[in-house]
Amino acid sequence: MLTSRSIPINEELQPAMIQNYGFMVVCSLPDLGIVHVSENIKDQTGKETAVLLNKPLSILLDPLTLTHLKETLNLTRFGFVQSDAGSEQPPQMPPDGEPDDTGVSNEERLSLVDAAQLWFEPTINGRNFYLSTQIIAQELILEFEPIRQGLTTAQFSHLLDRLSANIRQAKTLEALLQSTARQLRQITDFDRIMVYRFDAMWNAEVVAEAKRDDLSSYLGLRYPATGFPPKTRTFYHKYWTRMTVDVETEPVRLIPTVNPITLRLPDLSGSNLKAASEIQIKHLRTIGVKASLVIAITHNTKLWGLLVCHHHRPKFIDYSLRKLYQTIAQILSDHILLKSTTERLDYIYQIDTIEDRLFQQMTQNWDVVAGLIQFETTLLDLTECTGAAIYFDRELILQGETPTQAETLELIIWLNQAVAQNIYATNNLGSVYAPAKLFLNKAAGILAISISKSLGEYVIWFRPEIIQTVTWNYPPPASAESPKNDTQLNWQRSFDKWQKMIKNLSRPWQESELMAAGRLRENIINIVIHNANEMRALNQKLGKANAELEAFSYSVSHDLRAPLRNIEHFTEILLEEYSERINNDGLEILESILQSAQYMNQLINDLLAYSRIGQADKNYNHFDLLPIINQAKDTLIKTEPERKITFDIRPLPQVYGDRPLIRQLVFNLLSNAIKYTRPIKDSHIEIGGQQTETEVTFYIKDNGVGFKDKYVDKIFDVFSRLHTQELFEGTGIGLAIAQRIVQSHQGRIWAESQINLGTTFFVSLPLNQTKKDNQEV
Amino acid sequence: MIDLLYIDDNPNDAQLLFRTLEKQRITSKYFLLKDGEEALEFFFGQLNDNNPLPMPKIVLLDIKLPKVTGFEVLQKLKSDHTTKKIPVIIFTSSNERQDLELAYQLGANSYLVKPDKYQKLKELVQYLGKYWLDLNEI
Repeated sequence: MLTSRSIPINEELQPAMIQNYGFMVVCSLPDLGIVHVSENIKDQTGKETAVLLNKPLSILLDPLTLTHLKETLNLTRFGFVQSDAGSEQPPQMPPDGEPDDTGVSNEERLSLVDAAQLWFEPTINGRNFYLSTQIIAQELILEFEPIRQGLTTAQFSHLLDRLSANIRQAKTLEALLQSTARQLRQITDFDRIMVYRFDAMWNAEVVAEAKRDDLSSYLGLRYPATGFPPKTRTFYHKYWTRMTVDVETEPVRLIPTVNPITLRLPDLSGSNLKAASEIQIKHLRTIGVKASLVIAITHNTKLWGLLVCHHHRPKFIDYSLRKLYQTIAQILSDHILLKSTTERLDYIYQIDTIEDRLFQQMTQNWDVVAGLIQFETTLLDLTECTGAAIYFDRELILQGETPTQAETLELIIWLNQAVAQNIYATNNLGSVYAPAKLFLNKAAGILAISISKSLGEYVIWFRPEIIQTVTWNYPPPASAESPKNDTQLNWQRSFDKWQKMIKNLSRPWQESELMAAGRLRENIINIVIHNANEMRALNQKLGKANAELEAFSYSVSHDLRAPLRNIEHFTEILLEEYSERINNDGLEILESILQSAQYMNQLINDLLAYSRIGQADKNYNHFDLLPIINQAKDTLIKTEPERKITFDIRPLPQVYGDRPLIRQLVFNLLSNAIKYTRPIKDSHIEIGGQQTETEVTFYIKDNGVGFKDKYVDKIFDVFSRLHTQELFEGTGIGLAIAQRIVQSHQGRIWAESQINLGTTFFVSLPLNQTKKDNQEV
Repeated sequence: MIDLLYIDDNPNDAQLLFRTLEKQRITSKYFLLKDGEEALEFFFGQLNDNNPLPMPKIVLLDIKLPKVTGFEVLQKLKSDHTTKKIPVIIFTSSNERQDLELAYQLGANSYLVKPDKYQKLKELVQYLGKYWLDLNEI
C-alpha cells in the first residue's frame, strides 16, 4: 500500500509473485489451456506442475465447476471481454493520473484490468477452495484460496445487521468511523484497525482507530500522497481489497515466468493473491506488522479513504469474511456521503446563525465595528480562521493572529488596487502578493470582502500556512532499538516533498464560507446605507434649521432696527427741537436713551453681519493680504487719531478666499488689536504670515492687555466679552464673526495670549486644491 | 391731488416722515396706506372704476409689508399702463444687495435706505422734494 514512485523498483517488471496462502493458474483463452501455475500448486493440490502445464483446465477442475465457469465466461466474453479492441472508452480515472514507471499508460492498464470477477467453490483433492477468476489481456486468471472459518449465511447476515445498525446510529462522521473500526475489530480481532482519509492532494490522515490497548495510537498521523500513487489508488478503487497474510513468508513465483507464446509477464495487477511489494513489506516490518488488510472507502465514485487493518502476527481472513468487510466498507461509503452532506448542512446552518447574530449585533447600535467585535459572537467565528481585520471609518482593527498594522494596511491598499471582486479568497496569497511571504505564519490565505472601494474599506479573515497548523508524524518503529531505516528515510523525503508542495499554502476556503462572507458584506453595506440615510436626514434637518435660523436672525435684525431707529429719531427731535424746555437732567436722560439705542443698533448690525456669513454666496479668489491690511489699518487709525501705534508688517502670503469676508476678518482682528492695546503707551502690532504646502497662516500680534489662558476658546463665542463695556466698547460679536468667516473657508483660527503681555491671533486658510477655478483679481 | 403716497406698516416711520415733510415745508399733501393690500385696493380696486381716485405724484414704498409685499405692489404698479408712469421710490431699512437689484429690476425709480440719524432723514426729505416732487411739476 505504501509504495513510492521515487524508488526505481517496479512491481510490474518483477516476475509475478503470489502469496503462499493460495495458488494460481493462468489459462489462455478461449481454449482454457493452462499457461502458468504457481510453484506451490503441488503443496496445495498434490498435482505436479509438469502434469498441469499446457493441459486443458479440465485436468484440475471438476466437470461441474468447469461447466459453470464456461457458461459464465461465455456471458462474460459476450458482455465484457473486449480488452484488445482498444476502442473502449477509458474508464473513470482518479483526478491526477500520471504515466507511471512501467511506460504503460494508465489508460491502457485500466482497459486491461477491466474484466469481470467471478468466484466458485470447487473441491480439489478433497480440499475446499474459493476460486475467483478474472480475465486480463486475453488470459483467464484463476486464484484459489482455502476456505477456513467460512461464515454461514446466518452468521454473515447477523454480523451485517449489527454493523449496519451501528453505522446508522452514529451521530457524527467521526463517531461513525470510530464505531465501525471498533466493530470490525471485534469480529476479526485485528491488532489495529484504522480509517485513513485522503485530502485534496491525496495525503492521508488517520481519522479513526481501534487497537489493542498496549499499542500506541496512530490517530492523527499523516501519510504523504507519495505513498498513494495513481496506480495504487486505481487498484483500490477497482478491486476494493488487498490482503497480506504474512510478510515473513516467502512469496512464490509462477511457472513459467514468461508466457512462451505471447512473451509477456502475466498481469497480476488485479490479483488478490499478488505478493506485497518490497517497500510495503519493509514498511509493515518497520512498524512490527505481519499481516494487513486494506479496503477502499469510496465517496461519489472517488476514493475517499482506506480501511486499514494491521496484525502483529500472520493473519488470514478468508474470502467470505473479506466480502463482509467489503460490504461494510460499501455501507460506510454511503453513510459517509450522507453524513458529510448533513454535516455540511449543519455547518452552513451554523454559519448562517453566526451571520444572523453578527447582523443583530451590528444593528443594535447601528455600529458595524462594535457589532463585529464587542459581543460574544465575533467575526472570527464566521469562518475557520485564526485572525481577522476590519478597516472601517479610517480605523484598522485587528483580531486574533494577524499581520502587523502596517502590513495589513499595505495589504488593504494592494487589495483595493489589484482585486476587482468584492469577495476575494485565496489560499496562496504569497503567489499574488509577494510581501505576504513575510507573514505566512499569520496569513498565507485570506478571505476579503470590500465594503467600500472608494474608501478602501475591507473585512479580511486570515489563515496561516498549512505547515504551521499540521503536525506531521512518522509511525514509531516497532521497538526502541530499531534504527531509522530506509522506510523512515523515505518518509522523511516524502515529508520534505509534501512540505514543498504545500509551501505558502493555507487550507482552502470553503464555498459556504465565501457565501457567509458575502452575506455579511451585504448586511454591512445595508447598515452603512442605513446610517448614511440617517446622516443625510439629520443633515437635511440641520441644514433646514440652519437656514431657518439665519432667515430668522436676518429678519429679526431688520425688524428690530425699525423701532430702534424710531427711538433714535424721536429722541433726536426732542433734543433738537425741545432742548430749551427740558432741564439738564432730562437732557442727560435723553442722551442716555440715544446712546443705548445706538449701542443696540450696533449689536444688531453685528448680528446681521454674523448671520450673513452663512448666507452669502462666496466668490473665491487668490489675492494679496497686504492691501487689505493697510486699508483696515488706515480706517481704524482714523477713529483714534490721538494714539501712537507702531505697525510692523512683515511679508505676507497670498490667500485664497472670499475677498469681502477676508476683509471683514482682517478688520475685526485688527480692530481688536487696536482696541486692546489702548491702555498701553507704546502700542505695537505685528502682522506676518507664511505658506506651507497645504495652507497659509497669518498672525496679528499685539502687546495689549491679553487674557487668561482658560478663556482661549471662550473668546470666539457670540456675545462673549472678557471685559466690561466701560473698559472696552464692543458687542462681543467681532471674534465670533471672525471665527465664522474662517470656518466657512475650512480654515482654523486660534489665539495665544498672556495677561498684560499681549495676544496673538493666528489664522490658517487652506490653499486652493483644485487650482482650476483660479481667478486672479 | 396727493403729492406723496406712503405705503408702510410702521406708523412711527410714517409719523417721522410726514412731520419732517411738513417741518421742511415740502408738502402736506401726503397719504398713508398700511399694507400692500390697501395699496392694491387704492390703485386697482373695484371702487375706483367709476370714480377714480387722483393718482399721487410719487409713491414711497416699503418692502416688508404685511399681506402683499412691497415688491408685489411695485410689480403691479409698473406693469399696469394706468400706473406705470408714477415714480415709485423704495423706502426700506434693508440695504441688502439683492433687494436693491430686485427693486430696480421691477422698475423702481429710486431706492432709499431709511437713515439711522434724524439729520439724514431731513436731508432725504429735502432730496425727495427737490428731485421728485419738483421734477414732476415741470
